[in-house]
Amino acid sequence: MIQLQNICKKYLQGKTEVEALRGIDLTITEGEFIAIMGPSGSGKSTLMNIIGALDRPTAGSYFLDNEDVASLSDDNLADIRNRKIGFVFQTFNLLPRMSALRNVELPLIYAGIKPAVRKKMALEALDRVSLTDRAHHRPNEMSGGQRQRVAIARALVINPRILFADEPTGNLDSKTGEDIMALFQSLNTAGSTVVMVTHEYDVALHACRIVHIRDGLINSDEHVTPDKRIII
Amino acid sequence: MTIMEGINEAADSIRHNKLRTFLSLLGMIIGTASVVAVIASGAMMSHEFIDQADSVGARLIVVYNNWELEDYMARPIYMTNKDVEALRLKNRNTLFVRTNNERYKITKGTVSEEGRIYGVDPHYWDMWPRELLAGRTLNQGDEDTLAKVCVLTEDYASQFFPKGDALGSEITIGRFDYTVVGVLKYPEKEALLSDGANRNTIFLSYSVLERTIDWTWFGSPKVFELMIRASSVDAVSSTAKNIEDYLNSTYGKVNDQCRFKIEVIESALKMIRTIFSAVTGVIAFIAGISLLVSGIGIMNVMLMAVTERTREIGIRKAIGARSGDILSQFLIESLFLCLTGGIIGIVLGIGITQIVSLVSKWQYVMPPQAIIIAVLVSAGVGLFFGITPAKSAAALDPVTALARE
Repeated sequence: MIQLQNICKKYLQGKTEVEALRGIDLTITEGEFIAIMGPSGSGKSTLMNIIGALDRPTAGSYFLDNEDVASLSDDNLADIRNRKIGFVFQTFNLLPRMSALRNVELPLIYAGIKPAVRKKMALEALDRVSLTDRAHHRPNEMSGGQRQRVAIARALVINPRILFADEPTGNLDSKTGEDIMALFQSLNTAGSTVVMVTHEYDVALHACRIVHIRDGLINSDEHVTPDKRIII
Repeated sequence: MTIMEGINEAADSIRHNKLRTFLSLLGMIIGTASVVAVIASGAMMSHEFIDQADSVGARLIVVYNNWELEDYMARPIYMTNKDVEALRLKNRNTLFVRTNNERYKITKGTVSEEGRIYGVDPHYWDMWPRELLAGRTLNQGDEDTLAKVCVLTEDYASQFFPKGDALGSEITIGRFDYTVVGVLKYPEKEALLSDGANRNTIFLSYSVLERTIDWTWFGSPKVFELMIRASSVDAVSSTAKNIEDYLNSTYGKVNDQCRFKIEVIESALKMIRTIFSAVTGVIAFIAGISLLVSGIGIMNVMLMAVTERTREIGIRKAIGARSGDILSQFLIESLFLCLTGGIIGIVLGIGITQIVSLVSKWQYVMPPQAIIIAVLVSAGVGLFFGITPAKSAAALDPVTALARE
């Protein structure tokens, strides 16, 4: 489903050129739960941005569902993010002024879906993360775990091909973090492809496959053996 | 993103920044209010003075001696009663009013004062609608029978008859006694077009006044001023032409100029109207400049909003907002902001206009174009000053925007 070939990313930091990615080859197949690990500055976030169609590689090719994403226009990238990708961020990134329901509806607004249908879909997504009763609360009226579940509902609402999670448990206590990981695992079992970036091995062990990045290159690509994998 | 969504978002962000929104809109509100108030006050003033003058002035022609002629002093020529008779015969359905002014000593009992005596033909009262406090105006019978009757203005009535018994009483004007048959109410408001009378005037029939004057120097009675009301507005220019032709054929021209001034009041009114709307326009334009200045305040607020909401823009882009969606969101927001200010300003402007109307006693008028202009200008300001912030929001790179705290 995802094919990365020799992905390079250079950018300027002040006057010095930083080579964040130096030739990444990676294939992700449908239904996988993959964790990308690496210390800070390893390039894992840059890789995430490129796979998530937020950014374009400097060189190399990126095929998503056999479509060359690297060559698409900004608007086409926006459509890809809208229809095929669901993001879950470390800091939740909900819009504080809006209710949970409105936040979940937002991707549907940009997809041009009618209000009535939109509301129904958003409520379904909130139901999948067991937050129907919080639909009309604002983010600041919810706990961290609830906020992250709203963010997951927002990522799920349009039925994306891939769910991206960037340090999804980073701002949560370990108990809540476990709950969120359990949610990802159940979504994965139900068929969603999940790509997660983390720097905690314990968190990564919830995935089926762990890719280590170091200095812009893939250091290792291991399959998590069932005996090591944490399944909740 | 639909317009409705955009308006929702805009209303939401205004709700969350009430004070700042209000402050940034203050200029907008004051600007719109002053544009509305200026245009409306101009319309009220115009309605008060010019429209009023129109009801009398639109058909009015005034003829008098042309003292600008070089031989005026050497060969003064005046119209005669014969000319007026001839003109009356030539112009059916046209009112001709001879007027004459004299100053005489007015005496009643111990009160005595030199005052203004105005001699007018009976049609004067049709030409200049006046309100009577008591009695009647002068009629054709008074004129024909040379009745020694007069009409006083209310000021004179109370001055010479403090007991209020003017009607039916006698008053001495010059060498003769006259019976008061009417007391005129003096209009509260000063009119743009004056009939030559003022607060202190006594009216006599034209021929009655004519007979009190010594015409030896002139040889025979003359007519110094003639007021004419044409049968219709369309007939004014042809009537004026008829009069000029008659006078030219009777008295000849001097240096190809008519010996008399034939003044069509309508053309003077037209000029006043033009000047009036030009002045209103200029003041409204100056008030409009303040709207432009307030637009800069709007732009500032919108730029601040873009900076503050960089992360929000990043989030929106991450979940699929196109640049166009972000552009229209911010453009709708600034448009909504300015229209809100514009509408508050219009309401305020209507209030100011009502106060102006109350204080000046002018009739309240709110011309639709004042409101249309206010709405269009505030929307224009919103679009013009909103486009730069909206563009900068739309151009944000999602990765950088998301990284911003």
